[in-house]
Amino acid sequence: MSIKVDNVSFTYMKKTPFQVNALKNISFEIKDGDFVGIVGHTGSGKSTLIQIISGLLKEYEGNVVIDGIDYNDKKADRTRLRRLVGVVFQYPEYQLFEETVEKDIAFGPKKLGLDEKEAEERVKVAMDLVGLDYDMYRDVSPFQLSGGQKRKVAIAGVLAMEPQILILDEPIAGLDPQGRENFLELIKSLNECGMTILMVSHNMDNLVEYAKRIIVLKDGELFMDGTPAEVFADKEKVAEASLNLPEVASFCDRLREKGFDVPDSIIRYEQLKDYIISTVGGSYDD
Amino acid sequence: MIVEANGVRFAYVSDEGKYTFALNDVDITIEQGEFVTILGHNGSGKSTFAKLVNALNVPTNGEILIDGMDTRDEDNLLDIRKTAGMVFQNPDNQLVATIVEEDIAFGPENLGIPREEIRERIDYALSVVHMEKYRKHAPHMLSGGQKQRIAIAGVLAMKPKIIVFDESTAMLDPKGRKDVLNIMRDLNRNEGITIILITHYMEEAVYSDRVYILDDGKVIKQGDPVDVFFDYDTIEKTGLTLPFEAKLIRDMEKTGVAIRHTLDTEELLEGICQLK
Amino acid sequence: MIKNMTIGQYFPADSFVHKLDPRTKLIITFILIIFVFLIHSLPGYISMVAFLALTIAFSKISFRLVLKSIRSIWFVIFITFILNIFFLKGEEILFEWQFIRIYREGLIKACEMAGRLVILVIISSMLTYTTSAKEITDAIEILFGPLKKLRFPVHEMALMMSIALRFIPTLLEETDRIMKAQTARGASFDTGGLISRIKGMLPILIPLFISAFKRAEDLALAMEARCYHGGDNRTRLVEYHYKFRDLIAFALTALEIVIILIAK
Repeated sequence: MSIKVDNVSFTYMKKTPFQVNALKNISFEIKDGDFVGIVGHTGSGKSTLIQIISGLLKEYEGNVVIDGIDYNDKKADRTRLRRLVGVVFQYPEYQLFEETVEKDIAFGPKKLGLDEKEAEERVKVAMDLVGLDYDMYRDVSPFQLSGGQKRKVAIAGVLAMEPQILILDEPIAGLDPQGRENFLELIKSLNECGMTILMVSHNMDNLVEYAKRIIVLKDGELFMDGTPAEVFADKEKVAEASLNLPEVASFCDRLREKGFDVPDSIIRYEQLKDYIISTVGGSYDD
Repeated sequence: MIVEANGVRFAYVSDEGKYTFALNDVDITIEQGEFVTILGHNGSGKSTFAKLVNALNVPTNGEILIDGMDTRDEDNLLDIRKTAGMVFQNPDNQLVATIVEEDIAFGPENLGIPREEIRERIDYALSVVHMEKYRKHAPHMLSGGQKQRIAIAGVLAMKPKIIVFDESTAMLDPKGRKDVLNIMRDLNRNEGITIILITHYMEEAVYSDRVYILDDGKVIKQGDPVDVFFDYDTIEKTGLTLPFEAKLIRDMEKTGVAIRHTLDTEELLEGICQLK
Repeated sequence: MIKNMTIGQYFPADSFVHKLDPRTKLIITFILIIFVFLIHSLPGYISMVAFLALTIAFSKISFRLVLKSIRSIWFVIFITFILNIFFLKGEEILFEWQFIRIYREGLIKACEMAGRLVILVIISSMLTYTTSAKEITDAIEILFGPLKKLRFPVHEMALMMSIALRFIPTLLEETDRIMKAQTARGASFDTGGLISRIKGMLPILIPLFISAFKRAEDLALAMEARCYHGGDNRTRLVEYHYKFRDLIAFALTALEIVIILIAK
């Protein structure tokens, strides 16, 4: 499902002294099955952008076209759009409200007009995806679960709507290391099954490991756009956007200062590890 | 010893009505001026320990002495809380007042400190956390990291000997996290305050003098960060993730490369240079 | 966007009005609100408007901001005006069309009511714009202090008020966030009959309550950790002393009252 953002601008508090141009003439296209990281400092407009792509902010200028359907089109099929795009907000566990895990996850599917039986099927699949046992947890109150489990329920609630595009805003904030890794692996596997992923994150280290493309926003403008290796190769621009370099990239720089000839393509941890080991003569034989 | 926990257990009643130990026979001793990190994944009991230091919880068995004061003795309560301040996880949920300086004053006000001295303490606390400019601001207009710095200032204004950071960086963005961690180091080095950092980010423990790892309510490892982090088997069991430098050294060792154990980037680089 | 609401907000500045003792401001506000209802003549209104204009001028609060506070309740003002203009009967008909009759007396009364509302909004906005919530609660606590002797929990009430004020912006932001999250899951809040609308609010209200309770719990813990133990033996960062400027403010208010009473 492709996403086409065409010349989009957005202004908060229009025509008041408090006017803020949150987005200025943003255009890009995301192809089906991509994994895109959206980064930028606080106030760069990234959360405004994802709210527009999710269809939650309406009074913007320009066009956003999802799978050929324009949000601005009065005749657009809203239900279909809602079905296509799923959104996981920061701390999604704060959206839980039903008495049982099953009911909460079924909320979205039912709003799409599915009947009991179809919804139940969806719940089963979604719980399986996030790694919650259906029989064990279906009747449990979501409020009795641990923080990590609550988050799984919240995400299952979005996945049960079977979106083709999944938009995530800082999805791993507050999770412990194990939880973070499990979660990112889940997103990766959803992406491998063909789901288009848009992820906003402050964590560059995670993004370089998982994203195929990175879009950098700065003061409401599209500032950089490319593969993780391309984006983080331009150190000056990255600093200008007040972003941190990922650990691997900054370590590569330090190695270069020490006279190592580190290729520009190295951006992920595994690549760096292999490079160092082959340079210093380690072997994987044993 | 500024903190002395002997054979501490903390029991709570779980939903099924069973007794569960969040802490089980824990001994932790911390000296005045130390920077100690307590690591563990969610549910390991690390936050329970934090609340014992501040006497927000009292041990079910065993004892905790804070600067020699037993936390079980009600009469010590205010003195203990004055000695051991605490900064919590959620930046939004620990500021009381609608103006920064008034929030910082909250602790000293509770202690009945004269007004002139409270003013001095506010000046001091704001300068330590580099927030002098925000004195008259409303907390809800600040960023997460700035709010945490105000929370630290609020604790500092009580002139504590110990500050416990209970996952105080978990909800912050990288910039906010870095700022708060730098302030922790400054507090330890320049103000001589004992720091107890509760976290699940191993990389935050790099600057500490000593590390405890809690798992399932028990101390399973303690010592110098380098010794602890390179005990791969123990780390693996706890589900924590190694900081970048340690991970790289571990992976190099796996392929038969011998390299000095360090958590310092510069030393690691030198080690790699020597191998070339 | 709820974040940008201006009514009831405090705008810090270094001005004569800001520096007045909050007790002075509270008492004056109270007096003015009572006397607004005693004005019945044009000179009375003019003097009141002049008094408020003076206050605004000496507060460094922009007129535009004051207008904004009026605009946020323009609907109430408008309705008041309409009700008065159409339903008050008098002797002199100014305008007649089919069954609609507007009388001179009705028009005057309508203008008067709308004008009073505007004045009341300005008075109370000026209090909140120039006085922090903490100052207002402090003033209430001190002014009602004598009630402590009757075992009325004055300190606790004041603290509760100040905490409520501290958390209003936080909870508004949270509401906005939860609404968006539930909208993304297909919830709708403005369709169907009354029952289904109320049911439609549950996905917002339940998470909001749960989070509010969690916040309350966290805050109680944080306050305890900072040695909070009730109002006994507590000092106060800000001690209030009436200054010369308070005397000026009271004198001007007294003058205004005299004018109102004479112009009546």
